Amino acid sequence: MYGRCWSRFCFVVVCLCSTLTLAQESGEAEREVFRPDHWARGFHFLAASGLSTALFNSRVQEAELGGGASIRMDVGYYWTPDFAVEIGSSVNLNRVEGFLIWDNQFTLGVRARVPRLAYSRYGAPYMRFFSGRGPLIIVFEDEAPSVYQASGAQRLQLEGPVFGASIGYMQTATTGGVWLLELMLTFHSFESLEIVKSNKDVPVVVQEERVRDQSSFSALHILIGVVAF
Amino acid sequence: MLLRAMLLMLMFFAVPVFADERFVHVERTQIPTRKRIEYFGVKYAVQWTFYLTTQYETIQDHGSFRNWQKNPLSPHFDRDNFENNVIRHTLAGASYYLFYRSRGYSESQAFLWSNLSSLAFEFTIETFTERPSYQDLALTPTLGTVAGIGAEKLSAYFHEKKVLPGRILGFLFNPYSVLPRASYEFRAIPVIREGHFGALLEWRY
Repeated sequence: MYGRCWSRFCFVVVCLCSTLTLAQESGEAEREVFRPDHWARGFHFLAASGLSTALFNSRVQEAELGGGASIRMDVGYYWTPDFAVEIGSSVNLNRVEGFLIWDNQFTLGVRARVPRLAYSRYGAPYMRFFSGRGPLIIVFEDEAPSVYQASGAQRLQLEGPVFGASIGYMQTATTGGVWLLELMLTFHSFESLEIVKSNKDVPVVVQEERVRDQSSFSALHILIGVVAF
Repeated sequence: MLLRAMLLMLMFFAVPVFADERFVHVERTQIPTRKRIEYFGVKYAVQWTFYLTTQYETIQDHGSFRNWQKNPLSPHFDRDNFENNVIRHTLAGASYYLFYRSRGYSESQAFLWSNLSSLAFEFTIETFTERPSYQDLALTPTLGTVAGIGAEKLSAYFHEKKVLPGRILGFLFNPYSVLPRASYEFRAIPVIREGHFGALLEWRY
């Protein structure tokens, strides 16, 4: 119990200290131009959105979730002109037969320019690997499936680890900004499930259980984005 | 003095012909620490006011000082709905971002201070009723910054129209552009055309 509290407390302290440090540094650092072939040292914010296709898989069923939309934001510290450490968050939405599948992923990862591939001053490929955790929420838009009707469930929340990788291409636009095109694969497995209903605006967990059927959510995303700053 | 007045007159008539008028953000290179604390404090006071007025019932039903002391040590993934986690928090994040931009912060600094405001809200205000949420901590400043960048550009576009409906839309997309001493201004930028000669003049007002 105390161990968990301490780890969370450390998380808070790390959040605060890193933000303050970065705030201080960004105020003082001289600005260098971010180029696809030479990433400027410092912290940068990248935002991308696009389309996805997803698959829900478990020991007892496999469901093709079809197309969806996703948005991803990455805040990274770029240590060298070709390597960065990033904190990323993404939101992915798929709608299937009366359900809204809303996947959130919060990850820590690295981004590196692809070595030994030809690139120019105006465009260069890169790759990323990340891992983290997040909840996937299944919202019942019409009525809940019969097994959940008695509890008055409005949505299910599954939680578990996330892994992902992507390959992309950055290019400088004629207007000067840097754009990116990225193909990203994510794998989200689940450890726990909660049945949730809302009491006015306050969510109430009706039931909580461990996930034992090896459920997972895999998605392939194609994203277009920009280096915002 | 006379020369200056004549130049000003000349510039006034030259604007529609030789210059584009842009509504631009003016970045302040050095913001003193005292000012930074003041801006953060103003935003923090607004956050408290907003929370107490909009969450009055929730605070009465679920709020306590015990929560306020205990909750900051146990952040978690919350169970809120899409509207709350994605829509409302994005709007809150955009308001933080636009506020700091209006005080002269660069894009990256506005993002970082939005992060701090978001942390302050999650760990010292909302803890009266609930535990801090990882989703809110991550999505408020990031999605908020994306929305804020878009809103700021749209606001500038509408301000540049220089007609009343445009100005109203400009203030609606970025309400902080109406604040006193907001870091926005009209700037005349010369139009350079091929085959023409002329002097380059730029002035701020």
